[in-house]
Amino acid sequence: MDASEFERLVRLADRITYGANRSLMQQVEALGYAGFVDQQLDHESIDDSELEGVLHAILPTLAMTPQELYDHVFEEQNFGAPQRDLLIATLIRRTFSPRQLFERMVEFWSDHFSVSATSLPVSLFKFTEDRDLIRQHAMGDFETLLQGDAASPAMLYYLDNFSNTAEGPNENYARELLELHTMGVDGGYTEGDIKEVARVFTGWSIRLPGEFLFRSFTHDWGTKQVFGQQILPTGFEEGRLVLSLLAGHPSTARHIVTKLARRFSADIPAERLVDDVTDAFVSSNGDIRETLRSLLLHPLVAESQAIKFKRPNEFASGLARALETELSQQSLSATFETLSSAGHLPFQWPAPDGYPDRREYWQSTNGLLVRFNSAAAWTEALAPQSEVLLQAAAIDGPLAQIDFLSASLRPQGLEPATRRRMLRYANTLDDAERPAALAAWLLSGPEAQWR
Amino acid sequence: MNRRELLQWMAVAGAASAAPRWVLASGHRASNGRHLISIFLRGAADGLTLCAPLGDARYFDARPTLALDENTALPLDGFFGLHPAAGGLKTLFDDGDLAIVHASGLASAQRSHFEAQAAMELGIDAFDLTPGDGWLGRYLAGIVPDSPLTAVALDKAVPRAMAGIDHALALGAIDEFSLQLDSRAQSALSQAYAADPLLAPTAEAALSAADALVPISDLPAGEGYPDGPLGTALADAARLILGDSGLVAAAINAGGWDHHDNQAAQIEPLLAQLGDALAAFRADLGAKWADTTIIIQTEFGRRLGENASAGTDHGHGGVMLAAGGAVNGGSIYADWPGLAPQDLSAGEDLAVTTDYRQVLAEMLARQFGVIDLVDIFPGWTPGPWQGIFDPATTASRAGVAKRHDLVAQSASRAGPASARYKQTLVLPAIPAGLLP
Repeated sequence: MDASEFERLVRLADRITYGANRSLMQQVEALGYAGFVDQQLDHESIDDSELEGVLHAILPTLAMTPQELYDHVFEEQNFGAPQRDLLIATLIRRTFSPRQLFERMVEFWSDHFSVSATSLPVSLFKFTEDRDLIRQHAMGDFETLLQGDAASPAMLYYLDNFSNTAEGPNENYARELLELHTMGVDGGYTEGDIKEVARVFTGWSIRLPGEFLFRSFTHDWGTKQVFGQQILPTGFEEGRLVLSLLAGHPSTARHIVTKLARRFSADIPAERLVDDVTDAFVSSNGDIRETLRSLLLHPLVAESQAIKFKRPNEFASGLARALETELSQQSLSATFETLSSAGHLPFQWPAPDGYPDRREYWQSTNGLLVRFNSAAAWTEALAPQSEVLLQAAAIDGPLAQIDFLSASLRPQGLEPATRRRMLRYANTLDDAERPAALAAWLLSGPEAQWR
Repeated sequence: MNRRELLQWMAVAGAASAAPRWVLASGHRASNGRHLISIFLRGAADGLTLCAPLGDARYFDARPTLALDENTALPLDGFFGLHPAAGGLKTLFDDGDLAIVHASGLASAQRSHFEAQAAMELGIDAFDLTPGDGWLGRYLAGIVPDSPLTAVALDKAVPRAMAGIDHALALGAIDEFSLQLDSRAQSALSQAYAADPLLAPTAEAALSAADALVPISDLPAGEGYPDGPLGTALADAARLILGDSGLVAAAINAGGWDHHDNQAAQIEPLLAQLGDALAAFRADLGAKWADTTIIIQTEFGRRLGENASAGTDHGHGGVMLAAGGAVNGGSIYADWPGLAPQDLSAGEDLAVTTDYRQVLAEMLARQFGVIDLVDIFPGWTPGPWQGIFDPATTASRAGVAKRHDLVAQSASRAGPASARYKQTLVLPAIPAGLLP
């Protein structure tokens, strides 16, 4: 394989996972890009039982029914457990799961159907929503996710629909459903549509410990007009019908595809890419796997340069993956500290639009400072448990160490000028500090911030 | 085009579309020594609870459970009253240090949080053409940045209002913004980033800001600030001002104002925090209060009629606040549109009679020496000044205490406020050798 093809493979693998490292690149090289995409799309064929076994052993809440979880939280007074355990499981899965693209899609839908799981009720409901809805259907079809989300206690609580009644409609969910979850702000709906959709969802509520409940006596039993279409008063089915209309609306297809293309190609995705992939979304009736296949194999993605600025979580998981750290309290707390300082802990964005996905937001002085400090602190603290750093330490001489570290940590290769700068820096370092310091320099340097 | 060329192109194209004035006119004016603190209440604060029209019977009809009690509301001018928890605001108002601009906001109604926030931060009306830079960014682009700490967001990211200048800093919290690298690592990183045209300005700003903040972080945080991010941010803003850091403008986000349900219980602590934080800020600044202007905005006001969840949905007209030693406070500036059905926006929301840009423009013109206001607020039609801001083109330098004296004086002051809010994670037991 020639160097430029290998470089392309690294770049693409880096983009659709939480970071390319040596073992991932062996797989990608064997499968080729299209083969790797196919493998990752068929996520159930990838064995993650070892990871899930470990997670269930250290986090018993993961296997609890909603009632058991409710009792664990309220009877046994583990008030912080849902937020903490989901956070920990998420951070570990992103770094260690072999189902890398699947975990990226879990993150995508968690941003798309964003809830701020920082209060006790939302964190309790989010815990089961993540497990029983998002993780079940992240590669499934969009309408199933949308229908499930509308009826999920996490969203019903977060956007107040549980208290949306005929007597006093609450428009919060209806507005964000149209603006954020489906059609997009320019998707072609009116303030009147928002009010009518709010009426449709009156009575959609929650029953403890965490189930959907349709309260027919608080439902508005009048006829509604949504996008000029008459919605007859059939109760619960009205909401199902409206969600189905929304899932099939052309504005929704374009909105979802634009966000996917932004995540996997560029902040401002090419018009032709969005057109083509929207066709795939529509013709597959919103099949997420087919839409992704069309997106990731599209020449405008498969041949494109690394122009996405990594978000902090991509940086943090990428760092752990590149260093080949083991799962330990230190590596977990390092990820946590980085994301906490960068303002990117999972499920903590304070607004319903989800964490931003644009360079303008994340390229900040605070953001870069956190990366500089994190890389320096991690490489030093994790040196004894990083395969890469242990091997580097066993190599004699700065030149050989540079070649080993760049091949391991930046498999796409270094530009000659970068290598010269690295050598100059290496010459200022003594033998004991050199491997970790050079690794930190590479991982917090500019090339490593793009995917 | 290879990646290097592509990044070069993105850097050039980005700079051209984001900040043409920055390229042409950057740094043509020195700061007049005043400080601008811009606070954005995210989520759309309910102006009718913050400052309630108690003299209008329709207010009580529309808000059967949420209307303030006229007996406990803090009286202002016989018509309006402040929420009883906002005692801090009342004190500032009575002292003439707080002005309230009611029925203000975006002239064209925009009831999406995200669209309305974007319009206000970009300094446009809801449906104007969208510039790439924000109103604060355009103002700051005209100021010589003679310190790395000229433009600061006390937040993890720079808000859109400040977009368009390379030297805008996102500090997070002062006590956390320190560089844990030795000088060799720092210089090696600096050289590496010099090769990336898009990231280089941010990397340089981060490195030089970390140096410039060392003396500021020696200054302990002031006392009396309420717990919470707003108090922490204002305490940090005070340290930047008191430490003579060269701060021209700081942006602060205060979230949590979107109260679709249970509004009374949710808004009370926020209003208490807002008032107490401003009062503590004034006390902390001392003589520097005279040189400081605080402008507080929110994306829109909330619907006149409450909903069945004892909350309020999205509305239109809202409240802006201006505070500082050179504000003509103690007055409510409002061309009050009334609450009769025909006077409401879309038949259900308080109307906007004061374009938010009129207030920002008066502030920039009267206190920050800005002349080219239409460049900062494209599409805005200037109206007469309302007299909210005293003319104050030069800072009052009297009583300026030097940082070193303050450090000595303030040995007894509280420790870093931010330390109190750091989130911690209780780690599960993880046996060795599980993964990979």
